[in-house]
Amino acid sequence: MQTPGEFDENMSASIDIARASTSRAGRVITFGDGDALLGTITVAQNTQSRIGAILWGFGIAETKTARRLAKLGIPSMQVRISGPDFNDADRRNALLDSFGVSYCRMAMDKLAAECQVSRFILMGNCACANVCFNAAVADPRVTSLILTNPHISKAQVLSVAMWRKLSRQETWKRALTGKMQWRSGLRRLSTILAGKYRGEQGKAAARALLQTYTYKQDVVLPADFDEKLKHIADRGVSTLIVASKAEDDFYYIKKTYRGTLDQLLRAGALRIEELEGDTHVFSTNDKAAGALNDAISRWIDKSFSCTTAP
Amino acid sequence: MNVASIETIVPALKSILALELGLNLDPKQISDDAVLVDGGLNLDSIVLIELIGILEGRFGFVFQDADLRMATFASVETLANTIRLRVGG
Repeated sequence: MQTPGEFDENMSASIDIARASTSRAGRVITFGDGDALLGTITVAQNTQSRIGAILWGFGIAETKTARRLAKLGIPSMQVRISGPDFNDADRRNALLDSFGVSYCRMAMDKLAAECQVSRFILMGNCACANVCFNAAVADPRVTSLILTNPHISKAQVLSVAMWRKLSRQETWKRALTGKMQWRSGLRRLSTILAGKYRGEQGKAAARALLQTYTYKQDVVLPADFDEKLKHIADRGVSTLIVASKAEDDFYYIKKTYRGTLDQLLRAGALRIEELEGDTHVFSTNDKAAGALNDAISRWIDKSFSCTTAP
Repeated sequence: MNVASIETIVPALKSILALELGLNLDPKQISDDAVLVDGGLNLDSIVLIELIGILEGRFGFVFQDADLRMATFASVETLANTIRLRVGG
């Protein structure tokens, strides 16, 4: 397993902080199939890095991250969905669900063409974090991930709990040997499914939640998140997860996938930064943006500074 | 552009805001204390990034990390003061 920041020699030699002087974001452009995306490229002048970054979002934290990367000689592109679809949350999430990984690929292709990079850091928040994760699984060009507040829907919490229960070897052993007490098993399953939604009204709400949660693909963190995280780590992908301590979603991720997270933390393939406050508001809140950016900067400096040429 | 005083920065900034960011305004319509984001000129994050790029190119400076906060982009005045600070006026 590669440790974070370890890249091939050519890549390491291609970054030269000493020559990375100033950075500047260009004008916003539309690109991709049907001009589906908006982007702006921040280039580091006089560098020839083979690593580039795709940063979902145009907030303060992403802008600061783009500039921090530029100081290290790494060009980046901030992206988002173009047109009125962006402002309609349902439509935006539906598009990300269907085309999120394709969007990441379009963005990587665009940055590759503009800046001659061949390996990528992907960064996204919430639903876009999940898109980045799925893109990293699908595309071997991704070498690093910055996931802020990966999103877990309530419906997903329920379905993942059920999937994990059913996928346990022990469950099937008990079923096949006739030791499964089906009545109590079903009762426990219904308890999992109902979760906090006790009572008739609550159960109806839980059922409705499961039925209405239509996102199934790119915008969803996969149920076998732990296996896939391990898989990309084996491929050499280093991952930073930044989440608010107040986030239920990350609490669930930690609780569900603790074993794998611990293993990858020990191996150095994963770093987790838990922050006070609500990191979801970093686009509009200076304090939250600052805390998030400090966490990202620590990881960037650790992961990429050591790869630079003297 | 060699701009060092607030008296020259403010009109230049208003001109950029009015004419180069697609706001379709006359620079004279923008007051010194005009709010740039919500409730004012309503610049969104994309336009702000474009603005940052234009300002750095035009005035020949680089925004520091500490400058990249909402307070800097609160109004024409606050932004002009930051530019003045960075260009050494």
